[in-house]
This record gives sequence, C-alpha cells and structure tokens, in this order.
Amino acid sequence: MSECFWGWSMREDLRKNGESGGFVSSLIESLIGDYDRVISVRKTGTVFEGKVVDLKDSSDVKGIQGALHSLCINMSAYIKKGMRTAIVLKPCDAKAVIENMKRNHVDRGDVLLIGLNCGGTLSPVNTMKMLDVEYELRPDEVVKEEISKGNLIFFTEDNEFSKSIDELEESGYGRRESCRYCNYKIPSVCDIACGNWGTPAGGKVTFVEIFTQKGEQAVRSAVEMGFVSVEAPSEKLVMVRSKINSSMKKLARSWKGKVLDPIMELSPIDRLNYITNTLSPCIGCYACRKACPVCNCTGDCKCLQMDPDDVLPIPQYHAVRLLHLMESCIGCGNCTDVCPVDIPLARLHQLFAKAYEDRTGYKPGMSADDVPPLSRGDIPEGH
Amino acid sequence: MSHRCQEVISLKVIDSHCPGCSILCGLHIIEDGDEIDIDFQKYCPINSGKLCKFGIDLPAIYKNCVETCMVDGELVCKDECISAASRALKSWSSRSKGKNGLVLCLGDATNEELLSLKDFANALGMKCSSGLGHFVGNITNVPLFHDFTGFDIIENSKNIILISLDPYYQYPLVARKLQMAKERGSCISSIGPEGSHLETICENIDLCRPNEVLKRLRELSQHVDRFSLFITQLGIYADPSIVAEINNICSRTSSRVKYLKDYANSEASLAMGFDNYGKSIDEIVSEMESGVITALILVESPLFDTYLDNDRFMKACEKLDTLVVIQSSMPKNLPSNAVLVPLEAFYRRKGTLINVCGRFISMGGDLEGTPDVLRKIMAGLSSAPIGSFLDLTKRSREAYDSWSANNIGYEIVSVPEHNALEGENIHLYVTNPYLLRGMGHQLVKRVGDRLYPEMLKKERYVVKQRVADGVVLSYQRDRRFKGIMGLYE
Amino acid sequence: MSFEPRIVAFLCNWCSYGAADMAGTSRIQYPPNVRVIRFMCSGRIDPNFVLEAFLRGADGVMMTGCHIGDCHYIDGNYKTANRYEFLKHYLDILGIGADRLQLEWCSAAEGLKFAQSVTAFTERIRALGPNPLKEGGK
Repeated sequence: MSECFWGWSMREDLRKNGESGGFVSSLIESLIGDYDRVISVRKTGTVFEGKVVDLKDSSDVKGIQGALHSLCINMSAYIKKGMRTAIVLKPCDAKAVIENMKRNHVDRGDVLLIGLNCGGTLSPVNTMKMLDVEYELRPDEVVKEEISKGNLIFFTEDNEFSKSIDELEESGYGRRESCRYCNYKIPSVCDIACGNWGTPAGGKVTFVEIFTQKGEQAVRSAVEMGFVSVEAPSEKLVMVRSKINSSMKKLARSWKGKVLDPIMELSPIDRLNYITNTLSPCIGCYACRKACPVCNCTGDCKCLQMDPDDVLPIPQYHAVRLLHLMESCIGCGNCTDVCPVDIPLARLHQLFAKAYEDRTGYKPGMSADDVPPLSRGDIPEGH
Repeated sequence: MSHRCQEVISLKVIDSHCPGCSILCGLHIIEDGDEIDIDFQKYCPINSGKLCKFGIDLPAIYKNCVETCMVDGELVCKDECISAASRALKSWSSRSKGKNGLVLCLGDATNEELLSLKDFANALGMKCSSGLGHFVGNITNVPLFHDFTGFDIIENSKNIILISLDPYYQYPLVARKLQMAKERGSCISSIGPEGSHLETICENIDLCRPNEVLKRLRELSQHVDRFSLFITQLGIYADPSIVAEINNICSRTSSRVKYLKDYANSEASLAMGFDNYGKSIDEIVSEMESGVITALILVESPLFDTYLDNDRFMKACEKLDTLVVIQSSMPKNLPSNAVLVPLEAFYRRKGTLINVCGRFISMGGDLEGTPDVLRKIMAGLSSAPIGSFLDLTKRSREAYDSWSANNIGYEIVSVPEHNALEGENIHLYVTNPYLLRGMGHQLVKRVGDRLYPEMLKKERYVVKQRVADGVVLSYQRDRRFKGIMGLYE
Repeated sequence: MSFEPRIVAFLCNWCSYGAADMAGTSRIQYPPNVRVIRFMCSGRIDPNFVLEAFLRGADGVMMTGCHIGDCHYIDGNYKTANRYEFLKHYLDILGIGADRLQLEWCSAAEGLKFAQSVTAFTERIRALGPNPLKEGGK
C-alpha cells in the first residue's frame, strides 16, 4: 500500500530556498517535540560540507540540506536504541536501519524514517576536483547539485551546468562506485519517501510517497498543523517518476555488468588472486568496520581478536567480514570511502553479496522480518 | 512498548581535526551524553574522510581526560589547583634571580594557545620551547616549516625518497599518495630500517641501520634532481645531521623535502615564533638535572608517559622548584611535586591550527582551553593579563600571514656532528607509531619473531630496559607510545 | 614430488569421533591425510575455524556430525548444516571452491562410513590439487 502526493512547505523562506519546495524541512520541523531526536544534515559551508544536526527548535531548520548527494554520511549511525528518532536518510541508510532492526539495535516503533530518493551520491573531494577539471567551477559558487535525466547538474546563483553522468564516470568522476550499481533508488522500506522525480518543472514541490501508517500520520498532522500542504500528483508525472526509477535501475544493471560481473566471470583461481591482491595493502586500521552501518558490533567482536600481525594470504579479519557481510552487505560504499589505503572494499563485499543474492534470492535490508535463508534454524534442503 | 530514555540528551556533532600528527585529518566528533564517538568527514580536502588507526581510536583517547586536579600528589578541586599553580609561580618568580623557567609545549595546542603561553612566559620572564627549537638553533634557514605545496607534490614528483619512514604504519594517508605517485610512474625508494609493505610501493629498498642513513644519503645526492622529493619525519628526536644533510642536498640540486611532524600544531610553534629557547628535549632534560631550569610549565606534553628514559625524566622533574602540568589526557605517572591543572580535550577547544601543508584551519569546539586557564592563574599573579581570544586569533592570523609570505629558500648549512653512536650489538629504531596505539607489543612480537627470537618471550618493558641500559645506539622516539617499531641486530 | 593432501577434520565428540575410533579399533584402513580436531558438537564449528584452516594452508576441510535428529544437544547439527551450505557459497565465490569442504553425518557406530568418506574426500582433494592459497603466499 502506498499513496503519492505532491507536497510543499507552508513557510515562505523554506518554500523558496529549500530543496524542492522545502517539504522535508517543514515536515521534520513539525516533528520536533514529538520525537526525542529529529536528525538531518545541515550545510556548514559549500554544498559539499555539512554535518549531522539534532534539531531542537524551528530556528534550527534553516540550512537543512535535504539531498545528500555529495556528503555521503552514514545516517544510520546516529540512531540510538531507546531514543525516539525521526531521521532523514537515503535508501542505503534506510536499508542499514532495517538490518540494525534485525540485530535488535533499533526498534521499529521508535523510528520514523523519512527517505530521500537517491540516484547516487558523490564523494565530496573527488567532486570538488571534478568541478575544477570538468565544469571549471569553484566549490563555493555552487548552490545546488542534482542528478536528472542521466545528467549531473550544478547550479550557481544564476546559471546551471550540466554534463552527462556516463561521460563523467568514464573519466573517473561522477558517482561513487557503489552507487553506480546500486539498484535501490526509492527507499520503500521507509515510512515516507521524498524526492523530485515526478514533479513539474520549476514547481517547487516534492513528490511524497507514503508507505506506512506512521508515515501517513506524520504527514497528516504536519498538514493539519499548517507546516506543509499536499495535493494529488498528476497521473502523467507519477508515470514519469516510475520511468526515471526504472531507467536508473537499468543503468545500475549495466554498471553491475561492468564492475562486478567481470570479476565473477574470472576463473576461481584468478578470482582468488584478485581478492588476495586487492586486500594485500590492508594495514589493519579497522576503519572499514567502524564505517560499516551493518557489521560493527561492540564489545568482544570476533573481528578484532585476530592477530593483525599474523601473515595469512587473506587477512583473517577480512575473510570473516566477507563471510559475515555476504548476507547483509547493503552496498552503501562507506568502507571504500574510509579506507586509508584505498582498497575497494565495497566492491569485494558486493561481489559476495550480489552473488549470494543471485543464488538465494535474498536481499538484505528490505524488511525487518526477513531472515536470511541459512539463518532460520531449520534444516536446509538435502540434509 | 519500547523502553524510553528518561532524559533526552541532545546529540552534538563537532567539526574537528585529529591531533595525531600535523597532517590534521578532518573528522567529526559526536558527543552523545557521556559517549564520545567519531564520524568520518568525507569532504575534508586533507584526508577525504580517511583516518588511520589513531584516528579510529580517538574516542578512547578523549575518554582518558584529566578529571582530577592534583597538588603535591593530593587530589584537590579545580580552583585549588589553579591557585596552587599561581602561588608556586609567584614564589618562583620572586626567587628566580638568574634561574631559568621554561614553558614546554610540544604542539597539541591551537595557535591562540601558543600565543597566550608566549605572553604568559614573557610576563613571568620564562622562555618557551616546542622541542623543535634546536633545528632552528643549529641549522639556520632550513625551510622546515615553509612548505606550502600540500600533498599533491607527492603525486607529482618523479623521484621520491623515503628516509627512515614506514608510510603504511606511520602515515597511511601518505602511503596512499605514494601509491598514486607510483601509478603515475614515479620511482620511489626507501632508505632506512625495514617497514611494512614497503615492497608494494618502493622500487628500491635500501635497508640500513639508522646510523648509516647519513652515509647513504650522501651517496645518493648525485642521483637527485629538481623532480626529486625527500619525505622524512621531523619529530622532537629527529637527527639534526640528517635534516641538515637533506637541506644541503635540496639546496644543491633544487630537490624538495616534505617533513612530516609528530604533533598537531608543530607547524605553528615556529610560525607563531613560539620557540625562543632553541634546545632539544634531551638538552632540556639535562638542564633540568643540572639546575639550570628550575621551573617548568608543561602544556599538552605528555612526556611522563612517553619520554623513553622515564625514570630519568621523572627524577629531573622532581628536582624542579616548580612544576605545573597543564594537560588534557591523564598521565599514568606524575612526579610528586607537580601541580596538575586539567585542560579540555583537544576537540572541545576552539581556535586555529596550521597543518603540515601550511594551511590555516580552524577547530570546531567552543572552549578556550589554555588562555582560559592561564587567565585564572594570572589573576593571582597581578601581571599583564592574557588578551581576549578574538585578539589572539587576530594575532595568530597576522603571524601566519607574515610567516607564509616569508619564503625562505634552501641554503647550505653546516652539518652537525652525527649523534648516532656507533654500535655494539643492537640497534633499536623507534619511529612515530601513534597509529599503533594498543597494537604495540604485537608489533614487537612480529619484528622479534623475525629478527630477535627471545624478544618474543619478553615483554616490552624488557626491551625498554635495554634502552635505559644504553644498548640503544640510535633511535627516534615518540610521545604516544614507548614501544618499538623496528629492531635491528 | 607427489601431492599429499592435508585435510583438517572437525569431528563431533558424540558421534564421528567415536566412528573414527571404531574405524581404528576395527582395523579399517583409511588415508592418513586427515588431522582430526575434536569438538563437543559439530554446532561448535565456527565458520571462522574453517576459514582459518584454509588460510593456513589446508587443502580440504571436513566437518562431521551426528545425523539430523540425533544431536546430543538437540539441534546443534541444524546449525552445522546451515553453516555448511553458507560456507559452500562463500568458498565458491572466494575462488577456493566448495568442493574442498565436506560435511558428513556419521554416527558412532558408522566406523566404516567414516573411513569411506575420508577416503573418498582425500581422493577428491588429490584430484583437485593443492589449496590455491598456498601457491602465492607462504
């Protein structure tokens, strides 16, 4: 069950300056007080700089950055068990929250997930370099960035600059690698999914899709309290939205074909060598574990008890993590981002996770009630 | 119904920089009630969000903050320790005729803090030291702190020479840059003790004892040109003869050098003109022993735990007339005569810093730190007060501007006598292993396994004992960790 | 030099360890390539142990436990079965190959079955050749 609306903020300043009519900003403003924590991201400088804020009153709402295209913060890390939290997040974060629910780190009843449609995120430093090289812009000139119709668009105060994502990605810029082959664009596991796909050009509205009763209630009370306003979207644009979604998914499939499939198609020995060589520069800093939204248990974690100086062909720490994440890697790409020696860890984890998904049909992060096929405690077939 | 917290604690995210070394990687500190955690700051141009082991472990380090104040080995409240410090300094300054007092800050302090310390020292007739002063004293005009090239120079150099550097363990962020340089076709060589993964980035690895580095360096000087880059570490224990030799090579061949430094704001201690004493740590300790220095104010200089010859340092401290320790991390050992004044954790302080690339950056905290403490101490001393924080920031900006405009070139200097002693049987080589916190003895084990089997059975302190016995011939040491990174027979 | 497989066998105390014992006392011949490690239950065999065996150069790993329904601890071997299937997927993707891992149910009375499966597995590993991880590393 899902319902779609066009929504916008009733606050003039947010409607004018906020992303797509400021719907999300006003919605979370309406939630302050209802929830212990209302968490979003605020710009602290250029559109590439920002940090997570816990909103306490209406004055905090200004400067909230809805689209997280070039920040790639792991939002799920900011949800604390026992705290009623409303949080704005992107689809991979939402999947991470779901995985954390399975691990009993988060209670479904405590959180209101406001998802943002996501066509992919950009690594900020790489993007600033790209701005310089490809767009000839300075980071502080950019006021907004957007991915639309296969193009990456940067807006300055009075102009917009658009380039084809495909071309940028061929030359090493563009979206992060894990985003390129991610096929989860509309966060259907959230209570509400917001985005600008399927909105009229220049309409200053947000396309809102509501998935749960809780989401519906949140939007309804925001409307009743006069924070936001909604109307039914046009049939045509609803179609446009799902078309964008499916074309993004198609693009993701083709990227998977370019990135993961060639590795899967290697002979077993070559694949083993590829994995061994890729992991060989590891220095055992455990940053990937720290950044991982899914597999980062506290206390006596098995991963940390390996002797880092034990020289094995594959560091045992990684061997275990590859195994553990095979059924739970959601492909957020945080591990690759934070690796100080640039190991493409997300690619390896996704290699295992996607192959496992192909074999068993199980997708992590899709429902808190899903249990991975071989963790159900029943007897597997053939025994 | 889920359990709800009784009290709603606000979540606070602070923009910060890692105090592990002078690269000053950007990161976010998350304060959630009593819990401290980190998050990656992926937009930071210095490190793209990447952190080494030390950065990942920062929460543990910040948790170990000074909560107790101590005067003469007894716990007191904060006001009392400040007034004790104030009294001690007052009585020292009235008795100090002809005797020296020293403010020693190794560098985990903002520009503002350094300037306020300088003012404070001036008011009391004390000198300031950063532990790097002897480089400026002995070797004039070395552009140690005048390199604004950033790290891109690493990627763009054709010939890179690492000197006694273990990039993967010491500076993974530099290792990344080296890897990129290698992909672009640079030739990377290493001179010095064995490092980890060196073979993956270096074409030529010249394994040698620390006391042979100077000789190798001289042999090498024929083969470098203006596309060459030296990378080495300039800590408080770096060998001045090697630093001077590199400088001379750079001067003759127009090659470049990148010095990586140990402390968060090492770069600024000279930009702010902080060090006016010009002596090395070892010289300072001997002066403490001989009674030349009678008062010492240690600011963010955890030497009690990290000075390799611990007992010597403790004894030297106990000889002092006045010892005031202003620091944020709780020391394991503290001399009985010390007055311990707590300071806020690094991330909670505001102010500005200068990183290894010569960038002027600011901290996201909201507390003043040292200036605040000094003002309180000053209140009991009735001398010139410390200026306002805004004023200090303005002055540090001015100091930075004039320092960065004054681009000193490389000039030939005389190479001081090589202070690495010639050997008996063991060379111990200790580099800056800040990122190996908590991994120390395992590393000794690994090295020991390969080179010195009986070390495997012994604990780290046994190795240290050998150090104290004078078996060690040449070493570099670090504040954060007393362990050993490389062991040479 | 001909290749002699090195096989690590994780045996359950209550069944297959007894079976191995029985195979011995009944003088049933089986290849000496297995290194036996006894567990209190096959459910205790952490996938990590299997990985470590491979990383340290085992050419094959054998897990043995009680028949489904006969577990001394009621359902320990359910876990074993699941982990085995999971590990097979993993080893396949990793490139070591699922063939190098074998799960065998065998009760304390099945000495002959134990010997036969060890023999069959040893021959299989012999045909597969050495653990690919050994060639590059070590």
